[in-house]
Amino acid sequence: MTERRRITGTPKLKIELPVPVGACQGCQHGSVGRIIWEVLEELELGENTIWIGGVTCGTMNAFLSDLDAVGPVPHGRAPDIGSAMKRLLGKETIIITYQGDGDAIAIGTESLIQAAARAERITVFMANNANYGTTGGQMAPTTLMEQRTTTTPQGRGMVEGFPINTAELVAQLRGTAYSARGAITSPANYQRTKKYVKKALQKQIDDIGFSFVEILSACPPNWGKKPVDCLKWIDDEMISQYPLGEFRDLESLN
Amino acid sequence: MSSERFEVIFAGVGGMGALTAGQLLAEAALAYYPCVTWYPNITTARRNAPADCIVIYSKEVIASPLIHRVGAAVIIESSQLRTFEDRVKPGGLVIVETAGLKDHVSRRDITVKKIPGLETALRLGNSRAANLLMLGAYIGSTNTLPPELIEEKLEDRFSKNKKVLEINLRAFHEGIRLGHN
Amino acid sequence: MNERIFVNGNEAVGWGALAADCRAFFGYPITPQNEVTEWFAREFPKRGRIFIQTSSETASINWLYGGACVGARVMTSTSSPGWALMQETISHMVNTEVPCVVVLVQRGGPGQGTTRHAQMDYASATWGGGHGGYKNIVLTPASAQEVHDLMQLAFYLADKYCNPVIVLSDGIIGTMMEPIALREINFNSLPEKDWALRGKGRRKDGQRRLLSSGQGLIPTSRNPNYLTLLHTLHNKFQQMAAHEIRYEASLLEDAELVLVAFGYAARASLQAMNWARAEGIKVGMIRPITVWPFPSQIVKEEAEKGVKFLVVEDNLGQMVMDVKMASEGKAAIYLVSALDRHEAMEGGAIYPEKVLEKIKELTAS
Repeated sequence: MTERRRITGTPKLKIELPVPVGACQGCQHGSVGRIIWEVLEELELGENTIWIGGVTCGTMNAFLSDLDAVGPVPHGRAPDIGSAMKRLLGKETIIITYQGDGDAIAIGTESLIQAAARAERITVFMANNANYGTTGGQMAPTTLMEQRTTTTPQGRGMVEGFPINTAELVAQLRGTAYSARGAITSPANYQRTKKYVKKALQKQIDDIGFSFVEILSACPPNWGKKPVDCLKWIDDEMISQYPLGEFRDLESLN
Repeated sequence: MSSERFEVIFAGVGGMGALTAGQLLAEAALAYYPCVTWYPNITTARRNAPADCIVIYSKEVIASPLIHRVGAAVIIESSQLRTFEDRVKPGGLVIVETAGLKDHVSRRDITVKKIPGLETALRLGNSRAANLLMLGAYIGSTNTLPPELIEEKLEDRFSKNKKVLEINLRAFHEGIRLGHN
Repeated sequence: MNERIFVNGNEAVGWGALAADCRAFFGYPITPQNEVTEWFAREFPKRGRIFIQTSSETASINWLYGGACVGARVMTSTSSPGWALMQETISHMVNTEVPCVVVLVQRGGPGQGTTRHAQMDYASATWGGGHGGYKNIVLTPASAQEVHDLMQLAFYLADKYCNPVIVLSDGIIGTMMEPIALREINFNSLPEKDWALRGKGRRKDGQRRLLSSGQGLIPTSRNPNYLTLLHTLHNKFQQMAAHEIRYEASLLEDAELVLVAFGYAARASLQAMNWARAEGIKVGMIRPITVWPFPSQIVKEEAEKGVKFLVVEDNLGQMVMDVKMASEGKAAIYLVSALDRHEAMEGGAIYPEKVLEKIKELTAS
C-alpha cells in the first residue's frame, strides 16, 4: 500500500491546455474528473495509468489529464479498448474509462456487461446525468420516468419504458469486484464518492476483478435549471430512482 | 492419364468421410508431388447434406484448385452419382458405392467401377470405414500412389485408437483388392 | 529454415501472423473463417500470446483499437456480415492513425447471404467501408502461401503507415488446403512506436502521450486542427498509392485479351489462360495483389495497346469499375461474374471452364 496523502489545491494530474476547454456553468464533469485525479494522485498512479475517454462531454477530462490518454474512442466501446490494453500491458498498468450514461448503458451495453462478466481488471466510471448532454439533451437510458427531454417532450412514459440502474445491474455479474453509486451534491457526498472511486481503483490494483462507479452528475443547460437547483433535483428526484451506496464489494471472486 | 497430374473428386454426404478420404490422399501425395490442393465443398448444414472435395496432385504448379471436370470421381454415397457423373472427363473413371445404387451411368466414354464399400466395411466390423475402403479402391484402380504413403497417414491420424486403426487399414487393403479387379 | 506444411488458407493466416510477431488476436466466430479463430485459440496462448474470443465483431475491432493504441501488433479476422459491423471503428483507427490488420474472408451476400465463398466485399474494402472517405491498403492473396506471406506484409505496411491494412481473402482461398513454406520475410526497419500509450512512467521523456479518434476536433501534437488532419491523411493515402501497388502480370507481350482477376477467381482465370494458350489463343492476365491501391497504370498501358479486358470476379461487377476507370474508355471490357457460377446453390463458383468459354467467345473470328 502506498502512503495516503491529502491533496489540496488543483490536483497535479490536471493540466491546462493551450486552448480553452469550455464547459457549461454548473456542469459536474469537471468535479467528477477532479475526484479521479485526486485519487490517482493519492494512490501515486500517475505514471502507470491510461485514461480512456468515452463519447461524453466529459471526454475532455482525457485531454486535461497529465496521463497517457485516448479519447474520444468509438461510442460505447471504451471497456473493449481498455480490456485489450490491460491484457497486453499487464497488471502494472491501471486502466480507467470515463463514460457517459448513454455511452455506457445504451450503445455500449454489450461492451460494459461483457467486460464485467470477464472480470476485466479495469475500472469504469460512468457519469449519469439522465440525458444525452453532448447532443443537446435527448432521452438517455437513465432518463427518469416523466422527465422531459428533447426527444420525450411529453415526459418519459411507457412508449420509452423504464430507466436502467447501471450500478445495480453491473453488481449482478460474477466478474464484478466492486460496484457503487455516488453523487457530488454536498461536501459529504463528495467525500463518500471519492471513497468509492478509491475503493474501485484499489480493486484493480489488487487484481481482484472488474470495478465500476456511477456518479450522478448535473447537466444544467439541458435540464433547464440553475446549477444550484440541479443539485436539489438530484437529491430530490434522481436519488429515489438511483440510490447511493455500494452494491458489491468483494475481496475475491468466487 | 498423364503421370504428371491427377485430379479426383470424393463425393458423399456429410458425416460419411468423403472429405477425410480426400485429405488423407492429399497428405499422402505430398511425399511424391510438389503441388497438391484439397478443396472442400460443403453446405451450411453439415450432417446428411452433400459434401465433396476435389484433390489435385501434380508435378506442375496447380493453377486452379477448382475445376469442373476431373479425371476421376469416387462416389461414396450412391445418390450423388447423378450429380458427379457429369464431372468426369471423357476417358475418366467413376468408382461408385453399390449400396442404395438406383441410377445407371448413361455415359459410354468413362469407366465405371461398382464397389460394395458399405457392405464390406460392415463385414469388417465398422460401417464408418467405408470411405477408406473407397479410397483403397481408387488407389487399387489407378496406382497413382504407393499404398504405404496412405497407410502412414492413417497411422498418424488414428494412432490413439488401435482398434479403429486396424479396421481402417483392413478396409483400405480390401478396397485396394476390389479396385485391382 | 523453410518448413513445409499442408494447411488451408485460413490456417495460413495464423502462421503468417506468427512470423510477423503478432501479439494478440481478438475475434468472433463466423463462417467461413472459423479455422482462423480456432487456429489462434490453439496456437497463441501456448506461445505466450493473447487470444480472446470477443462478444461481437464490433467488440473485436475495438479490442484491436485498444491493442493498437498500446503499440502491439494485433489483428482480427471475420467474414462479410462481421466486416460490416467493424466499419465504424476502422474509420476511427484511420483518424487516430494507429495500425492493425483485419482479415476478411468473404462470403456470399447481401445480408446473411451464404456461408460460402464470394468476392462481394471488394467495393466496401477498397473504397473505405465506413464513414468519412478514408483508405486502407487492401491485399488479396490467391493461395495459402500468399496468405502466409501477405500477412507479414500487412503488418509491416500497417506499422509503416499507422493505418489499418485489410487482407481480402475468400471462402475458397480460406478453406482450400495447399502446402506452404513457413518463412520469415525481412522488411526495412521501422521507427519505434513512440506515440504508443504505456503509462508515462515507462517512457524516457516522462511526458504523456495522447491519442484521439477525434483528431481535427481535438488538437493533438500530430494534427492541431481539422485541415491539418485532412492534409495528413491525404498525403498518407497518396504515399500508399505511389509506393504500394503490387500485381502479377502474365503473358502480356502478345496478348489480345487480358484477364483481370483476384483471389480464387484469379486461380480459375489462370487455369483458363493456360488452357487457352495451349490452343494458341493470345491471352494474358493481370492479377492485382493490392486492389487498393489498384494497379491502374498497367491496365492503362494495356488499354492503350488495344487489348480487350475480361474481368473475372465472383460478385455482380465491382472491380470492373476500377478497370473501367483505369482504361479511360480506351478498351472494351467484359465481365464474368457471380451470374456465371456453375450451379444455382451456394456452392456454385466460377470455374475455369466458364472463363475459357468466355475467352473463346471473345477471341473468335
